[in-house]
Amino acid sequence: MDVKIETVNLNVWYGDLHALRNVNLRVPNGRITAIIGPSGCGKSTLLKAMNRMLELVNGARVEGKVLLEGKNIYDPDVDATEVRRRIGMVFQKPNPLPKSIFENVAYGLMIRGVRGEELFKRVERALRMAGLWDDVKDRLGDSAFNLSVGQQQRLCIARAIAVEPEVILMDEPCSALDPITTQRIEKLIRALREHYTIVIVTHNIQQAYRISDYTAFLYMGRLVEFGPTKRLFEEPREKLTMAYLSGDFG
Amino acid sequence: MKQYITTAPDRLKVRGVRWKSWRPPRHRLPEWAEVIAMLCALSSIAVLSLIVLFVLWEALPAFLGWTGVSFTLENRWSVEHSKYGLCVLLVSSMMASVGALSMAIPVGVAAAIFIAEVIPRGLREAIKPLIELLGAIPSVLYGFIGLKTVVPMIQRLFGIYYGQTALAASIVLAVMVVPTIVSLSSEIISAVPVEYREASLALGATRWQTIRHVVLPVAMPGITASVILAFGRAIGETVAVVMVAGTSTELTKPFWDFLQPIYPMTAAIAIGFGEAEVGGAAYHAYFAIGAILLAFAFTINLIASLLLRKAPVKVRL
Amino acid sequence: MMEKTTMILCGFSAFLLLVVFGYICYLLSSGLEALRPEFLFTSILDGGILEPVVGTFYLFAGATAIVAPVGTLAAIYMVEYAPRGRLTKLVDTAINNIAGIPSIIFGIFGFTFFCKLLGLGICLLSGWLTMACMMLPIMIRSAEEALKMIPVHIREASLALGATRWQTIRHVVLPAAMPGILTGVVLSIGRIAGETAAILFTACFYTMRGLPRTPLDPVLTLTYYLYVLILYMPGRLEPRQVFGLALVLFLLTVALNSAAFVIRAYYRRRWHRWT
Repeated sequence: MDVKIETVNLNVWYGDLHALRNVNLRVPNGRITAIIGPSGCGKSTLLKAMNRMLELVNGARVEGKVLLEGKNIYDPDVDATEVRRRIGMVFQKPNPLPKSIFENVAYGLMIRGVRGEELFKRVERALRMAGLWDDVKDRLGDSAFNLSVGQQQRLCIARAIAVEPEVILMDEPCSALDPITTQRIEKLIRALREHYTIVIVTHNIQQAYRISDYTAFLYMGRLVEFGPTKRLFEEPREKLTMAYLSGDFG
Repeated sequence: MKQYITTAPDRLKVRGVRWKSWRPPRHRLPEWAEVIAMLCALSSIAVLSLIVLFVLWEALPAFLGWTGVSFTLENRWSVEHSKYGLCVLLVSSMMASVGALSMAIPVGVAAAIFIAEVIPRGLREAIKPLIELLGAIPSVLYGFIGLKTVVPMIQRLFGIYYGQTALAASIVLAVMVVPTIVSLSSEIISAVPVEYREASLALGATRWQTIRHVVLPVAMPGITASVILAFGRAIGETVAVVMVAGTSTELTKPFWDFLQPIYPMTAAIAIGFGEAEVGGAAYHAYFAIGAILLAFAFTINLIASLLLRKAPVKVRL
Repeated sequence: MMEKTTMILCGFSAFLLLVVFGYICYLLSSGLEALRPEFLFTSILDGGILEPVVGTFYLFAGATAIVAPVGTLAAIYMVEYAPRGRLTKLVDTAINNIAGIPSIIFGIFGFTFFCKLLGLGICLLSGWLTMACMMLPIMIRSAEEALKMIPVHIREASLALGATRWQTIRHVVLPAAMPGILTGVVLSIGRIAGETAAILFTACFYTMRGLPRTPLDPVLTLTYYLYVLILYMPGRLEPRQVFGLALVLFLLTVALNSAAFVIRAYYRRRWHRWT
């Protein structure tokens, strides 16, 4: 298995709370990996640790390593902003910037000095990939808040794509959306698989089953089991996994 | 003017839910307590109306030239010589205020950004009261300190004899209004939703890029409002300028020369009103200046509240 | 690199303000030696500041006595009784605008209205009324906020037991809102604590001697005394005594602001637990 991201003995504390305990996870390249588990088990924490967004939380402490293609992203000589460009993030609640549709998608490029024709091409490409281009091509200057919630989430995905990351982290991207929009976004995520490694946190077990290639089950900060989705769902090796999948808790 | 800023407690921040007001049912007889309370509430309207009415009333004779006073735009204000050149007063006020703002805005906004974005929370809670305290110092004290420090410094630095100048007034006013800018701006900046910052940082922007491209544009109306309110405070400041701006009946040098004594509107009233004979020409003239000041104050208030309407923070003036 | 320099500049600005504040403290501390009880309790005729100290106290007390009930009742009307409509908006606008009026205008208004029209002359009472006008916006705002903090269901509980609205206010709402209202009182005193311009023509006479015996006598305050000392009677007190006066004024400001700050912080913490 070609590994894109690997966490090595990853431990995270929020003050005294030990949120992640010795997590050793290997995220395969070019595949969709789902992280499932009951509320509060540390899924979002794990995700945020992967693109160094955790540092922005007051009182969060990280120990261990997170290797992106072999290099520890927490090394002192690694630039956090570059990590975040290579590993993008889509949030649970769509959070467009208070700017126009075009400016939202262009933002990540603009701050890196991309301008003019090149900028426009890349924005269009990102919007096409997110399936939003036809909807917005005539109103790129409109405020991003004029879009529906589903469209806003697509916009956030397009925005993340525009900087050409290698990995996209998604933190429950569909939980703020209605079932039909969720379906569409799931379709989009499956389509994105061709170009990116995707890690998606979800509390919806069926969603994990539907779209992911690999699944990791987290419980109380520990990685309980990891494996190909089909195998994990049909023949879970751990009793805990079985219990969770049959809905005994969480 | 002081700004007391509160951010609404979290309970009230829930989107779309305004404070569930306790509203009595219609069609009921008011109890006596209600009547008294209503009269008290009306007193605020009464006070405002009375002030505006009286100032205008007493100013009217001067504006209409009934008292033999004609306001001119000439460069001389001297009551004894019946010279009422508004030019001196207006230009002086402007010089002092604009001069003050030119120093207060960069320092104030930069400090506000620093306090709101860079400093950890604990330190912030310690520094903000100090800055508010700076703004709460009585103006007569500022005048006193200005006289003891700023004025001699100007005399030494520029080798002039009389240190009470527009520059002194600007410096003192700048220190007085900076807290206004800092308090309000830092609250506005802190109130910019965290989602915007998260989105920007997740795209790999640096903290400064996030501030520059996301936070500041959103906070701009509020910051502008704080600047306008600071301007209002500078224009309306009386005692401090009386003490450090000197008094002069005319501006002998061009308005960009800050090393001359000036005579702002407020100082003119403070010094001249006590001598003025009630009902005399000068008396009405001073009220006319007061009317001009009122016009300034209300306009500034209006603009500031329009700007602050866009802010996510509840602000008390 | 650009980022670091900008951050440093911003930090420098904040630092600059603290330096200014520190310098002011340092400058005023030279008045420390004059701060002996004799100074505070000797008449101005003998080089002390008794009359200004007492006068300041009289002025604050009277003005507060007027504005606290009026402001609180106004807030009660706005929050408890008034139907949402033009009246409340009007009062809101009025309050906002009064707060923005320069203090010298209050001075000339007070002179014309209270001293001349109502015939009170330059006296403590005129000063009280003028100050009360200035304090009104803050008092009403703070009281409004304090009342709004009380959850609705508490009022409902009282009314469901058959109490009248006033009884509810008097026995349930007001006591609970009292800390906030007190904050408002302290804040509004803070508003006028440093005032000179407003009392220049309404309450103070620099040729006066002795303490005011009735509210119809003029009064001296710390601020006014400092003002006339510097402008009109520069040689009257020794320099260090003038600094002493300045220091007293400064300490008063600090005390009032600290009190307001402490009450606000305590109150916020208390209500966070409630809500």
